[in-house]
Amino acid sequence: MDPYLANLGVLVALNGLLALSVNMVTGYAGQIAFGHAAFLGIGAYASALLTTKAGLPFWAALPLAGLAGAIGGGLLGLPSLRIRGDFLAVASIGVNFVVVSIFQYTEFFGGALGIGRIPAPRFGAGPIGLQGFLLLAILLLVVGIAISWWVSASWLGLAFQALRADETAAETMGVHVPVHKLAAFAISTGLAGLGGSLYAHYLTTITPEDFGFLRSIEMFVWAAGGGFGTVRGPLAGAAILTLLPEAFRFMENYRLLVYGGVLVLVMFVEPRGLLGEGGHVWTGLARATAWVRNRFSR
Amino acid sequence: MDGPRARHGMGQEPVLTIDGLGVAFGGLRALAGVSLQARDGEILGIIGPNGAGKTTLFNAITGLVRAAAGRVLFRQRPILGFRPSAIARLGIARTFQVVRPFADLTVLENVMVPLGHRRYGGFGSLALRLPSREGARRLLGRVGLDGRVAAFPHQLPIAHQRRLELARALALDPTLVLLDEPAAGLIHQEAMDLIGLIRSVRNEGRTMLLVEHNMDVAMGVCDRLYVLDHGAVIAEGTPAKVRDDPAVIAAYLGSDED
Repeated sequence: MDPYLANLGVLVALNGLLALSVNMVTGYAGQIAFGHAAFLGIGAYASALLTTKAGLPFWAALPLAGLAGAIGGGLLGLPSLRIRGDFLAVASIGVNFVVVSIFQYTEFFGGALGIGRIPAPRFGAGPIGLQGFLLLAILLLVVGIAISWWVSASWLGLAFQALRADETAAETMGVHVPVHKLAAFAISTGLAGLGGSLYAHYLTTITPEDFGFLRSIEMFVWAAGGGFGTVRGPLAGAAILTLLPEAFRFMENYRLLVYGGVLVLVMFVEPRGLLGEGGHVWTGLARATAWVRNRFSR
Repeated sequence: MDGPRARHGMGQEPVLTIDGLGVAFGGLRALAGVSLQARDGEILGIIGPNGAGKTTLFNAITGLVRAAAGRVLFRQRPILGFRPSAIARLGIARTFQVVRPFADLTVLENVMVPLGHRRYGGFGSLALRLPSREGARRLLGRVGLDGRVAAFPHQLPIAHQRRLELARALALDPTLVLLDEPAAGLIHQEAMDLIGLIRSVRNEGRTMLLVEHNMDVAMGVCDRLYVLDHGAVIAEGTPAKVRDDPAVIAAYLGSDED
């Protein structure tokens, strides 16, 4: 397999997982998350430290990284119990900066240089190669899709959407809002933690600035651009916005300009995201498939 | 005789006892020592001029505002200080004066949220299960919305949104139902339908408390009325008795000294 394509594939799958992570807490439960790279970082650092310092194999570090992300999200989700909307958005950015600073100024986390020589996962005789990483990334994405689908198909998802719509009404309908908010955070940041583990072992070196505010915004934009509150939307958003800069490579310096322009256009035409519920594209697609089905059923 | 009374003998056990309830917003005393009692299977009306504290009373019972004084007993059990969701789970359901449906959920899903809380609340909600769509559809059928299950709340006229709120409240299988101005904005026929619906809910053995401005509805359906004014109960009794009470007439029309 072409290494360029395999690398792109890993990125698309990883970014899809991260978009689903943001979608869980912002899309379903309606809690703005502008600092989610912090949890990608917590997972990455947990996995890197567990393998390089504690000598654990990757396969043990991976679930622990997910757990670290979930615990971190459960704790750092606590502000969401007291503040909402714009204020929560600002607080989530603050959380991101605090976590990055801890990575940066603590010797234990390797300081500004971060952690290097993170071993590749081993499977059978030796370390997994690029295709192994691609397979692993797809596997983790499938886990993310399964969890998202499970939440959206269960009462838990209904409870998330109820508190997103109206916290007071949700409470009077028997939904314990704080518990369900924290559950949304923990599930979401657990997914980000899993992604962080893959990220660390795939890149072999991590530094604090890998998990800064810009990365958080990227994650948010993938989910928002594709369509919050659906599974297809964040996946499509992450895939398109990861591949777009590659497709625009020939434009060289104008690449970011066009990329930004496309984002503005999408949000202008489809404020609920490219494949969001009730948007032009999704309604059109549904109508088109119905039309085709009618043609063939006759 | 009506169902619940027939079932529960005289129906004299209090479902709800409120004793000296006080609520203050800053320096404003919204409720000043309100006491009332709702007996099993009773339909109780709370009436009074605007700003009398009727909605505040509902908010205090359902845990949405903190009480400064007094007691609220639900089936002999003190519930002041409980979370709204805990109070809902105990069996007190309510509707809102300004409807608050879950905007992005369909009509059916709106009812499935409270329907699921009993079986799927807490850790049970982690299971991949939804409360029965059939159960939700049945409840919507009762309020005449079974044809609109896939609609979103904002697509319904306001009278139907009120019925959706009632279906949602009934999904909690409540012992006590609080209706905050259920007849507001309804035309005459709709109000008459509502009265029938309220009676049928009572006939299942549920106790009801309603805040109502529409006097035809309040007088027509309530067994007893409490009249609130300036956060205090100024009269109590059957509709006929309350209608002729001079204190009530003064509160509504303003006394001569004003």
